[in-house]
Amino acid sequence: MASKRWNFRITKTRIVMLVIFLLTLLFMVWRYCVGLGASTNLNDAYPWGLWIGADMNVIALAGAGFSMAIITHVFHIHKYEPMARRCLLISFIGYVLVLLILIVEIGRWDNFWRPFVSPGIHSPMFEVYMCIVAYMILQAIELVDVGTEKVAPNFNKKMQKIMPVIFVIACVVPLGHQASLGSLYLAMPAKLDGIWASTAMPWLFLLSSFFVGPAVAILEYLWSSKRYHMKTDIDMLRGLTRISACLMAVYLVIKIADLVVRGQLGRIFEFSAVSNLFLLEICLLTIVPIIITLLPFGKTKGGVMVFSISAVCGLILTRVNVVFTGMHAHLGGGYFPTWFEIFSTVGLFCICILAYLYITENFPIFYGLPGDADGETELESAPSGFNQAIM
Amino acid sequence: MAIKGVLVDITKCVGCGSCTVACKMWNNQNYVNPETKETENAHGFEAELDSNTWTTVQYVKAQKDGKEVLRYVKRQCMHCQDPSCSSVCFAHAFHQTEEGAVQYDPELCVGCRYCMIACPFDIPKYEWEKAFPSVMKCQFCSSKLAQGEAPACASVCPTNALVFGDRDALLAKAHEIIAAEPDKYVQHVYGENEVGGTNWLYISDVPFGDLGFPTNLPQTSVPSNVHKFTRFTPAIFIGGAALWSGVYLYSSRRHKVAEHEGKHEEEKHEE
Repeated sequence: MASKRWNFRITKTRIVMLVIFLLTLLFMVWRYCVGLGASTNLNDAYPWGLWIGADMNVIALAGAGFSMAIITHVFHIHKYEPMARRCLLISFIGYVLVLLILIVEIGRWDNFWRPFVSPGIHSPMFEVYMCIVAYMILQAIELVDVGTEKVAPNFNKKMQKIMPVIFVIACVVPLGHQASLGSLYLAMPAKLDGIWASTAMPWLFLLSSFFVGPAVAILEYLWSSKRYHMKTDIDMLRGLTRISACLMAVYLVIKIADLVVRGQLGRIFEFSAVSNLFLLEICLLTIVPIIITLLPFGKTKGGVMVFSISAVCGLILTRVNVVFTGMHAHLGGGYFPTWFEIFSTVGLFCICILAYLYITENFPIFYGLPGDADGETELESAPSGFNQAIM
Repeated sequence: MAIKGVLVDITKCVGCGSCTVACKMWNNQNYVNPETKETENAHGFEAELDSNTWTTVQYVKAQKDGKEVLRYVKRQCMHCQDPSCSSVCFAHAFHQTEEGAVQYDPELCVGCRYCMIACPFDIPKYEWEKAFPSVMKCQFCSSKLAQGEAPACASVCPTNALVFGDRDALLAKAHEIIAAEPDKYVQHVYGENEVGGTNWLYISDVPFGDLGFPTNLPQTSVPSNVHKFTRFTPAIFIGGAALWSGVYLYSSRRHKVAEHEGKHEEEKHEE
């Protein structure tokens, strides 16, 4: 058993993902040599492309970490505790992915440290950067807490004294960067389409990243339950969808009120490509999930899954609509990412998935899952580290 | 020192392109388009700003009194009084000189390109072809300005279409000119109030929208629009910390009470 303490199962898919990542590293060296012009389709008209769009989405989806932390660590709703750790992990890995993409994206990657010594404090980007760095440090401390539970229990005991403070601060910091991401586009009032260009954007970005958190958590839960043949607690998931749906309703009301106040409500029924994409966004993000929770279908596993998929797709569309759809009329021309932009995004995503699999199979991330007690997890496919963790 | 500016009278420009040549000479730039690698003029119908071309004279066909007319529009950084590029830069790579020139410092630039997307006039351009690229834009010949000299472009203009001076004086003069010939000029000084005011001012006999100037810009500074949100930052953190701490203490206390309810009841009975 001891030799199997650190374990990583090698499958064909995992090898493919590793190869894609290694190739990405190789192509990244090429990108650093030739510059962004030769490797991407970014240009003076479209200075922000796929990578920024991906980062905006990953940060928003990584909001799962903070929304689940607020629900369990701040409101102490113990029912959802099984979700908190796994969301901490996917959130942290999400932020790592954001930084990896940014290292490829920024023109002067060697100057990444400049904002620390030459701060542009009036920039929303500065707030995003500082909050993400601070938040990742806090998450790293929380992960050390999880990691040492098994390896160094004495040290872990000492850590418990500071953990409540860490948990609370880690629930405050993301408020800063999730809202600031929305305020990035306050600087382009004449460029962004009126449907989105609103002073309410920071608050809408913050709220949406919060209520999509449970949806991300649910998808990850269902995926790993299937992977490790664990029982699923539909009642708990159902509870999460209801919390999320209530906030979606608040979001929908604010969004409509905002459109009315700015006299843009008529525009959403123009049925142009722009207005259709907006309608799709608002339906997927709020209306469809809310209806599902009201139906009997919402009590089933399928219902919970459709709820989550719809909300996640809706969230992705909200960010894509701001970065591309809403800016397209002004930026003009066209932009489509090169193979390198797509390949590197996929490659960096692959290494994050592998890191996630390695950590979940070796550390007690799935702590407190139903099915732990009745030994259902002791199947061959369950990793040994995982078994140790629950024993 | 007074804020400097340039008044561009579109009606006086003959499209010779001398200003673009003077700009390239002063700033040590060549005529090669960094993207196509082809040699081209910085004036003409196709002239576009790029990292190697900080000013152009663009030829624009417009309608005037039912006839098609040709107008020559000099384009360069407008040098906003409250510049968006500077306000959105998270590495503080932009700053304004005493004369009002908006300066870029490549040493500090991280290369996020937020300035490019935030600029209301789409002025900053990028050295896409370089491994370590910088943002490029007109610097208002700041070293010349500091000596009290006109920028290279304005100093060579043969028709006085570009007039360099104190912004306040130029603004007054611009209003004088357009008021003197109300039939000829559009009664608007472009740059007086656009995004809170720019140091480069334009007057024209053809509507500015027809010449490719953005006409939907807010008449107040854009950074102040962003500050309406960023000023909430301390409130978000302090308020958030207070709120979560409050909820944390309340809910953990409630759980403890619930856990030890039986025990508490016993204690009460003993009392």
